[in-house]
Amino acid sequence: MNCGPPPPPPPPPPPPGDLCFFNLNWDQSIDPNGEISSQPHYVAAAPLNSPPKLDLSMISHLHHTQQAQGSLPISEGLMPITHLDQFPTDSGFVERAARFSCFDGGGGGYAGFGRSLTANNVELGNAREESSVSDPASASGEVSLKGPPFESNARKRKAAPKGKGKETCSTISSNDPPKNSEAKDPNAKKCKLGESEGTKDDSIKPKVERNNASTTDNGNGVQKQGKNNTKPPEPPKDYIHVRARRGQATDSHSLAERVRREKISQRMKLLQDLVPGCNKVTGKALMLDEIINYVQSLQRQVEFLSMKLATVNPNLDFNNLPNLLAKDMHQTCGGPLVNSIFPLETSGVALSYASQPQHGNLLNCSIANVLENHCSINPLDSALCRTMNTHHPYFNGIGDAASQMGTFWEDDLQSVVQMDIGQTQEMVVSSQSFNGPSESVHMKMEL
Amino acid sequence: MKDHSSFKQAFMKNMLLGLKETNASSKIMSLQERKNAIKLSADVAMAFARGNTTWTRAIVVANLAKKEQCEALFRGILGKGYERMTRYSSYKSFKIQRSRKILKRSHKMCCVRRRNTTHRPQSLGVDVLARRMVEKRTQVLRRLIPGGESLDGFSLLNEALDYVIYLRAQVDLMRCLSDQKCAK
Repeated sequence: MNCGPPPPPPPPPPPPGDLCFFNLNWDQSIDPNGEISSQPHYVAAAPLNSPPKLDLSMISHLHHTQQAQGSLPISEGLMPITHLDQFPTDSGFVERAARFSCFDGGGGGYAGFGRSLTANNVELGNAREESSVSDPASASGEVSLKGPPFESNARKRKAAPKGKGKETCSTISSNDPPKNSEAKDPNAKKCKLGESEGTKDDSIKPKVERNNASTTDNGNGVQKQGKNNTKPPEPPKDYIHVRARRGQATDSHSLAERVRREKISQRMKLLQDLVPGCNKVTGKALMLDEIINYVQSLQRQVEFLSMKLATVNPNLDFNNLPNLLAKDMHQTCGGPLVNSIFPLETSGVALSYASQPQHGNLLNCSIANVLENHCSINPLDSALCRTMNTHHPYFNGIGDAASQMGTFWEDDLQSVVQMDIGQTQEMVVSSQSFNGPSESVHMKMEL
Repeated sequence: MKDHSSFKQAFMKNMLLGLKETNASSKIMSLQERKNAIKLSADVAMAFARGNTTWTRAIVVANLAKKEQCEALFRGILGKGYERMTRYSSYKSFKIQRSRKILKRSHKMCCVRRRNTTHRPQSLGVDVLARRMVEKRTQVLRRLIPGGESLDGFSLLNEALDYVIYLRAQVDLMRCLSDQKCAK
């Protein structure tokens, strides 16, 4: 998973010269990428992989040590050392071994995983994130499952240039920007898969082992690689650093950033539901536009309504506020109860009713067309009635509710706005008190 | 939203109280003054009916800082808790003013730096443009939501959510009031 361009797929039985050629190309393709940042970490890691010339004696020795440690139950099937010894020590072979090791690491042990990765390439990033996220925990089986393919990749990238004897290449490839790696990883996996499927002959596996040996043959690398190969419960500490540095998306800051972004998008979804006309647009900027427009329009409506209130009745006086307040207290006592029982119905109905006649009402300010206004108000009032009336059955019978409602509403109207009691107003009130109960009864039936 | 009708009751009560307080001298008020008074009482009523959030505090503080006239209004609505409230909020307002200054300065510096750094490369990526658009709109939203200047993205959206809900309820209630008055 570690970044770097995917290696070109070599033919299953490649001649050494061909491989060298390949490697040349690969190096060239890498070189422009890399800002040659020999960071201490990588420099430290590079010598592990550095020795291009492998002594077979060294390898065998290493192999012995590994077996002695017992940390190498290699999934590909452990080949006897004699197998290893069969192969010449030319750099081409080493390099090819290096390349195939990763293939086998991915293919042999984790063929299923690699396939699933290639199947849905998009998930690659996620998987990597998960693994890297849970990496510091370093105890979960998931990590140990997912870690090793990446590890094997890393080994490949490190090991492949080693065949050419270039240490800088390895560091460069491991320092590639995260996007590159993400973009190229699926391809790499595919190549690898194809390779691993194509190269199942035994002659490669010894090389793999030898490659393992070669990569691990430098002092402290032994433990690390052993762990990688055997997918032990604890992944090495090194790789936490590697991933964090390479991806730059796995450190705690970017994790926090990701959490923040998720929270924000969740809020945006809620706002989208709340603001009308906002669920058609996509994109954060457009949604913010809609929200801004909506808030502005609401604020303007408040301005307008306060202006309207100021103009309509200049001679307001609230002399019998105590009455009103008593009623208010009564209603607030009933309010929570109602809400706890019918939280959705009351609020939703009230809102929908209130928002319907809004445009009609804005223009009908003049007192001349009282009747029209009254008609347009009616839904509003009935909505209010509902919210007010739903708690009546709790202290009264349902039969009483209607009459109670009427008087209640009438009182309320009279006390909220003090007006001269004219004929029209009485009509209004009576019609409202007539309308209200019917609505409320209807409402009860619905409920 | 869930305590919608209780909010309505509280809002109505506060609103009427506020109207009573501010309209005590309504005979000599001009139209604009009356409108301002009504709007003020509506806002404050909404804020007090909502309770304790960032935007309600910002509304109260802004109104307190704006005029001394609304002192009576607050006294009327709050009753006993007024003294405690004013002490707290005056301290709060001072703090908000100062932090606003700091914010503005840092924002200016940020802008300058950004202009210096990002205008040199002529080709801007699409994602950079999109991010800039979002930032601009977030700034606008910050100005719209009371008290939003000092909030970051997530809490700003949170406040916006809350504010929109209650603003809508306020609009509904005020429409009810005005329509009833019209009807009379």
